[in-house]
Amino acid sequence: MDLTSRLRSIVRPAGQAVRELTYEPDTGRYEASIDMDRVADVLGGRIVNNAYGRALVIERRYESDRFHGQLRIGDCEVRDGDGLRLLDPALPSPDGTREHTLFIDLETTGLSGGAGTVAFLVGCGWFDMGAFQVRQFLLTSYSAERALLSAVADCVDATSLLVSYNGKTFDVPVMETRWMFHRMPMPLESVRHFDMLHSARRLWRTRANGSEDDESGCRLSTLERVLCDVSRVGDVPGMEIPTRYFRFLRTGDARPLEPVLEHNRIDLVSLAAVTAHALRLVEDGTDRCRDAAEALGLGKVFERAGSCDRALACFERAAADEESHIDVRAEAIYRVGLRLRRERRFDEAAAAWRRLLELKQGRFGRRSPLLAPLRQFAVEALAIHHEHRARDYEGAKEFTLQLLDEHDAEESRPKAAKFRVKAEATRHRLARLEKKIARKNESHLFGGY
Amino acid sequence: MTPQTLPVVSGDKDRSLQEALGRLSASKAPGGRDADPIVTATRRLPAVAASYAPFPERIDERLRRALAARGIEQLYTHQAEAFDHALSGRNVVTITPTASGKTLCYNAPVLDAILKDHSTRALYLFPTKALAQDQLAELHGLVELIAQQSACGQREVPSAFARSASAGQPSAGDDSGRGHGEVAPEIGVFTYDGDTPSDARRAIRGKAHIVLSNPDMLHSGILPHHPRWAKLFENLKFVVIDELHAYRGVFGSHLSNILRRLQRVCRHYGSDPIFICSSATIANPRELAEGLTGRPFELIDRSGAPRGEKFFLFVNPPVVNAQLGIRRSYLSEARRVALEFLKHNLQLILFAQSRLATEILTTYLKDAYQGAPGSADVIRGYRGGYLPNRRREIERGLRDGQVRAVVSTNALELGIDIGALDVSVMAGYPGTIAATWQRAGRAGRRSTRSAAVLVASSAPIDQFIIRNPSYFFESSPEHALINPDNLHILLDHVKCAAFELPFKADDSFGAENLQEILSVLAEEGFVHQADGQWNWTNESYPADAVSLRSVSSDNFVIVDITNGERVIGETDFTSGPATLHEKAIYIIEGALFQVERLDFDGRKAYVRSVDCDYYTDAITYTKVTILDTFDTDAGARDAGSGVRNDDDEESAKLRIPRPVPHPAPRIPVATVKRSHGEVHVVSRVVGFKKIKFYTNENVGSGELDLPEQQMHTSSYWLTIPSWVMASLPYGADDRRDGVIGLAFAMRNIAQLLLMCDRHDIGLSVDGGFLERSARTGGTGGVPDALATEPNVFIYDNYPGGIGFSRPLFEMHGLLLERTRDLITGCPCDSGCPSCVGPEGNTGPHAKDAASLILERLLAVKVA
Repeated sequence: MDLTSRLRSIVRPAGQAVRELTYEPDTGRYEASIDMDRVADVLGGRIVNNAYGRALVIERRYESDRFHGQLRIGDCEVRDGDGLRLLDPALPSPDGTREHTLFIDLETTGLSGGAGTVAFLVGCGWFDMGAFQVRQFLLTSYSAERALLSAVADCVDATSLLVSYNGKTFDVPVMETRWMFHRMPMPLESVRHFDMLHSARRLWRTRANGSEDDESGCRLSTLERVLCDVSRVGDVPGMEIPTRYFRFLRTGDARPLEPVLEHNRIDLVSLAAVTAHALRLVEDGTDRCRDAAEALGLGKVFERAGSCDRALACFERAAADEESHIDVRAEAIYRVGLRLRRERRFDEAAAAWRRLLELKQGRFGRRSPLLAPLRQFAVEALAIHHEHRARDYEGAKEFTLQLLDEHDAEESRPKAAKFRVKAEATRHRLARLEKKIARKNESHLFGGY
Repeated sequence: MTPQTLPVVSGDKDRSLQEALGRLSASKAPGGRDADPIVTATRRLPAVAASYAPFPERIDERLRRALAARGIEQLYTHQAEAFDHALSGRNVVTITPTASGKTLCYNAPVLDAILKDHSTRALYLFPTKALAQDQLAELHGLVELIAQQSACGQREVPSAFARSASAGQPSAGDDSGRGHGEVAPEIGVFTYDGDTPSDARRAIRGKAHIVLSNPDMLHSGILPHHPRWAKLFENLKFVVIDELHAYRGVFGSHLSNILRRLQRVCRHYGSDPIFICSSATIANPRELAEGLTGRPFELIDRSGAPRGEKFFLFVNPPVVNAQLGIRRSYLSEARRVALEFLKHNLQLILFAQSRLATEILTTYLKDAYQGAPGSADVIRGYRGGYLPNRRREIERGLRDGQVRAVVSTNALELGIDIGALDVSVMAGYPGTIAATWQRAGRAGRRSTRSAAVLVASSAPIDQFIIRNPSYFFESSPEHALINPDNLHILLDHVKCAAFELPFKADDSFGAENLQEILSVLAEEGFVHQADGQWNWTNESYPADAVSLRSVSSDNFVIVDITNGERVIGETDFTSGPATLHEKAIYIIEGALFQVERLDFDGRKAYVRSVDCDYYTDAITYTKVTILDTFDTDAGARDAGSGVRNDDDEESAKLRIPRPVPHPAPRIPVATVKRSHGEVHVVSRVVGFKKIKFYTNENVGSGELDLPEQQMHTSSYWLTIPSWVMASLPYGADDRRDGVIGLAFAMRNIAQLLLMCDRHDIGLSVDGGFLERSARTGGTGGVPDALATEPNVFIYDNYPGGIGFSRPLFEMHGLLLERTRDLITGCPCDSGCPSCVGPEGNTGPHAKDAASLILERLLAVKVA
């Protein structure tokens, strides 16, 4: 066998099912290089020149009175200020010299990262006089990447705040890798960066039905639909995007890329819209919350930002909502109790623990995995409260016995070892309480004489 | 026979050692004085004094002072030579025995260069993570000393930092203004492997002067992310490869390609590092280093380090049935030897040949020796497939003396720090001279006395070695072979390389035509050519799809379902069917499990804990079809002269004494064919046997229906001419037995000549042959080809081949002669497991027929 046949038999072993082609079959008749001017014509872009060559730029403007779902574009503007730092306490304050907020979103040839993952479309957006301006940089051939990276660097140069969705983990590292690959300076290295994904997870991971469905629940396309009522028509599925780009590289036909560009633009606008929505939530507080789950999420955001009063208000709101799922309520009451205890409002905290114990399992027909540990926590907290605060040893003993029952119920579970340790501590507590009770009775006895 | 002289030794431990050795040497064979001896060789390897050389004049003063503070005022000669080569920018490979201070051969030049130029970077590669951890501690100590020594007399006290990434973030150091004068700059030393936490990785990339890693991490974690490592690659001056000998066969072929990728990335960043390698004793260290890196090398093969006295014993289990040539089980014999040392309170390591043997021996020793009541396990098993925590626990136990004996596969052959043990016992010949010395070296260090005992199994290779001690003690060790251009392996790495950097239209990569490879990859959409370069156009991360230990990355996991579900081990794909078929007994650290269900597609074996007194051995059916003959050599005269020449060359290279040729009958001119080429191998596990522990009785069997495994690989084959077959004074069955017996013996000699594991080569005789246990599967019938002109195939047991076939083709003559020596030198009457296979598996005339065939084949050459 010649080399090519041997190679083919390895790459495509005989007997392997013919797989669906995810790329244009290579006919060997492709163009040696792609004509950037023609691509610019097809996609409605223009060419910019810089020291490294030519780069293709596509610009679109979303005027302020246009609607994105139910939101006016003009109302999506994100102000760089205290609101953002409530959402992300780690975000440094603006230094005041520049004021330019840039939204960024990439389309890449893969999700793995590394030297072979290329950002073939860099989407940037910013607000300009109330309108949303989008500038996209499209890579028409790998050899033009330096020119593209240089053009992107020029665009992000004046940025004082970067807003992204999962950009800390993905988009920025990918861009940095590209710049480093070409030994170019990295303009984003010291730019302040707000990653909306982390706040979104905190705010919306717990859905109103109590489930934690992070996979789809916190995807930008889900949030834009739920929060802003945006519905995309003819959107390209994300997994199809690299394939379309590879096909473009082989055929030079840019038309299938138009929906990819549109997908990227909607992502940018939605990123602004969702961020603006989150900002309004933290600015207006609990009143704006749609439901208990959102109030619970908002409370966690406030708590993390050290805004304790507002956090408590949110938890109270979620705890009071009798319509909401039992898991949401249980967690809200639990957090109310924690907050109160930290504020040394022990009696109110104890009341919260009792409320937690009154919650009934199974209203929604399925066993909640969350409730059992919270109940245990509450029983234990009550035992502590009665022993150390109320000095009601009989009451404390009552709760301690109840706690032992709960431990026994856990014995058969997989993490039994952990529970055995806990049960040991509980038995220890019980012994101590019995001693205290005995001593108290003795003193009564002696006092009687 | 060598007289059994054991010089007087002193000290408590020495006395115990002497007593134990004395008792072993006195072991008497049951057959009386004339029976073949149990101890076939006793060698005393005398202590060797050190030979020293001064530090090179160019050494950095701070490093010299730091070494002096450690008591190193001068270097061993091999260290000084290595230092000198490195200083002059020459690639160097050092072969030195265990515990000869080989790490200084690379640490000294690397630290010296970093002290002189603070931007210098170095990359160290170890075959395993554990070895890197060991070296980290060593380097940490040195760097600390450099800092202390430089601080003496300085007002400014620089801090050295060097720690494992898992110890947290590196301290923020200010490099500027420190890299001059007498003050030592901070030298960052970090391990970077799969255990490195992701938040520490960024800091390591920026701060590490020396990165300790392994081929797997370089392959999948560093090279594909080279832009993030720009600082390392721009300033990379040294690549250190420790345990070079570990990189042969498949692993070596992969590493060679990884190093091609590494050098490509270095060129991209404008650096050109030199390579410093160290290896255990093999025949061709320079060739291996040059093959792995594609660079010329200087070789240092004389150690200047001192060595303690060592005793080396060869033990052959006594024959219990002379007629059938059956010896006492070597595992029982190894158990007896090990217990002798254990009773004298000597700490020992017991090497077994396979995972199965490891488990059996662990069970035997645990049964026989419990240690003090209430103490922790004093006998432990150790092998690949154990989870890392368990391994670390055993290593610790060995170092602090709690574990008195460890039974291990070759997993402990490499330089993992388990302290200095007293005795190394090898149950079965490790397969190569190099590995045997390496294993023997796990006992004893620079000044202490130690012992090594080799217990032969009845395998032909073992019997050959044990009866010819001079082959082991006097000849040079084997060659390490690699085949970096195995198309399967090459193709995988071309993908990885294309992911890392685009290929140009005039680039090359390895020996095959790169542009043709890229064209095929383009057909499949992996790459695309435009503007004069090939770019990666695929969403995947190609490094993830490559396993460096095998040609394919597939494996089976073993799930214990006795109590819930728990993963207890793993096994590579090729050995899966033979060890994890339904009803197979799977053994891990002496605990027995039975496979209840093999989910072949899901690659999972569900096992349940059982209590039984047998283990299982699979029966595999193999068929080979010739696809393409690369080279063949036929005809009496041509074969004769051709083989002769090769033979002379090979004999010289391997320094094997050639026996006196047998007187040859006059034979008509005919064709003895040796060939090598590409073949298609189909193998299937068709059944299994149940073998009782201790007695090795066959207590049952079963049939299996498992999917076929297929591969293209390369093979050597011998064609026995029809006239030779026809001239045999036997019937068809006996002739066939002769061929099968011959093949059985040839395979073992091939393994000896190739320095490979038993698993690395496969054997087949065309017409059908049950490879692992000839004939017990009972497929019956004598294929026609066998009766007329049979082929004996010895093939590379990896898809695409790993380079054994051509050397075997070239060593054809030697292979036949050694095989003849093995068969005719065997004391059995009519075949035994040590030559042509046990009688019962082959017929009563197998040995005679095989000898006759060989005699006629060899006669052709001198005719």
